[in-house]
Amino acid sequence: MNRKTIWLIGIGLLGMSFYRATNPELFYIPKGWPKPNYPMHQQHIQPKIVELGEKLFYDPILSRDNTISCSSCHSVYHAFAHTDHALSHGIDNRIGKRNAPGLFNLAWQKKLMWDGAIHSLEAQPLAPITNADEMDETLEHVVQKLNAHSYYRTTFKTLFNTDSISTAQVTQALSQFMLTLISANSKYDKVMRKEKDEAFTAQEAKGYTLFKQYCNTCHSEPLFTNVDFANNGLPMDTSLMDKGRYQITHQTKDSLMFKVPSLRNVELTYPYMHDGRFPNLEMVIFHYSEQLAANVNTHPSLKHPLHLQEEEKNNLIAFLKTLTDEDFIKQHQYKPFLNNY
Amino acid sequence: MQLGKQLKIMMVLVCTLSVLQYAKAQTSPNNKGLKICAWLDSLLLQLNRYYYLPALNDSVNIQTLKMYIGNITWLHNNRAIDSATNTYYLVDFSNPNSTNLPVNIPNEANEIQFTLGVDSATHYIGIQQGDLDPRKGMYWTWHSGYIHVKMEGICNKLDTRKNKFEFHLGGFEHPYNVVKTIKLSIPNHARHELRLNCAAFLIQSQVYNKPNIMTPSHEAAMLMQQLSTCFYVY
Repeated sequence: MNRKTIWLIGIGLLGMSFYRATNPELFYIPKGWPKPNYPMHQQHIQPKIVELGEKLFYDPILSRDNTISCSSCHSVYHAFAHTDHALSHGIDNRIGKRNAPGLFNLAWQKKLMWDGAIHSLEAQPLAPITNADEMDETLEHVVQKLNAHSYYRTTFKTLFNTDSISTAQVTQALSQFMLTLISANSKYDKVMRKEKDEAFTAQEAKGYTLFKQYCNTCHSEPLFTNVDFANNGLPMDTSLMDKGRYQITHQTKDSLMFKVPSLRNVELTYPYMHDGRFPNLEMVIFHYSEQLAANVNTHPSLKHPLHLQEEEKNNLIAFLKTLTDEDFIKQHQYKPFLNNY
Repeated sequence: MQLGKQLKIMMVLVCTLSVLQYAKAQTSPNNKGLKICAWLDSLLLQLNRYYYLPALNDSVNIQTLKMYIGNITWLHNNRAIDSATNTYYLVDFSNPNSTNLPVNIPNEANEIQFTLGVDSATHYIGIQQGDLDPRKGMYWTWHSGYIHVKMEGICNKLDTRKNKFEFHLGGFEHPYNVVKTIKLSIPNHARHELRLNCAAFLIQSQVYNKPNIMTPSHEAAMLMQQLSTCFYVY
């Protein structure tokens, strides 16, 4: 081996030491999916930091009176959505103004919250932590409580080499955990991948055809959202006066626009819409089929109700249920490690 | 020694001294830091104190004044000679330590440029520590983004609750990216103080029409623009 070769190998090894390959078991891009919108190069996702983030996610220490955790509104059994409540509730039984959405495939999101108020995944936890109706805590107290807790103190010391836990590290741990929530293994996905013994039923196949005809513009495959905002003809609830994206941009064109949610796991994430007004999928389809009242801001594909036949509605719902990812639920069930807490 | 030779020796000495002086100037910047001061026209501002402003015909009391200043660049004849990009300082006039920025000032600088506020790119590189930590109270968690400037106080003639006005000026993305880049001349013999004339700002601000600005908005953009014209180097 000559000197030149040795140099080349050395440089190669040096280069590889700087390349931080993310463990594919923690984060991966499903085949055929677009690149994430999240700047993945900003995170070096590590199992222990993900574990720490998951612990924080389930820990009510983040709330003022240590009763409310992220999981209070984001239940893993419902793809991290909030069920049985139209409007999510928080500390002291206070009721908020919106329904907490499911959490998955967040690396592909651009803006967070129904109105896109939050621009990055790291900034996201700060909103519910400090919201008076949710966790009603200050960041200063969160950091003080974590620093006073022996488990967190030692774990952050080990993972971040810090004697004083900071807001940035807390949000980094939570972000890493949230980035690992990838849902891409539903029946629909297996059928698309042409896996053995996987096929739509006749009803599901018809539903898929209808979906592509009527729904795919906003709920685009494979994410089942176009990662944008839309006005889908919902009349404003005058008890809430929620103007959606307009409240952030103050642009008239954004009036009553809300983030297009992903329809993955939609079977599990009832009730539906930003204010949880529809308790089941039948009522959602009824809205688009019969009740839709378009205005100047309504999405161009929704200018008229769809007027679906009953059989078509049932087919569509059958297809939507193929988007349920049971593996995602099983994989992310939280097993509290009681012994070392 | 002949006159010609004496002259030559003097020339060499003069040139050497000049070079040394110039080199000293190059290598010995002003290390006292950059002082930020708030004034009300010709009066040094103290927080929580009433001042009568003739232009407003009103008494004014500024209770809170905080701002992010960053990306400080020193220039000589429009050419950058030293800069600290991506470095932000939270200047809080209730904390004197924060009003003296630990920056070196090159002696030959005759212009300064800086950002008033935290720029958009910085918002996208994750939650940060130090002066940019959201715990500093200059970060909107409800609509993520930094509050670039926070000014709160009293104008006696305001008909708001407790005669208060509150300017929380933020916004880092279209259509309300209100961050300002400010470039100022440094006069000869300047003491290298960056001054903000709050009286001039309040007069422009139309505080009596809109005393509460708390969101990224057209009004926030206007106020940041007005603020940007009230800085000068003394």
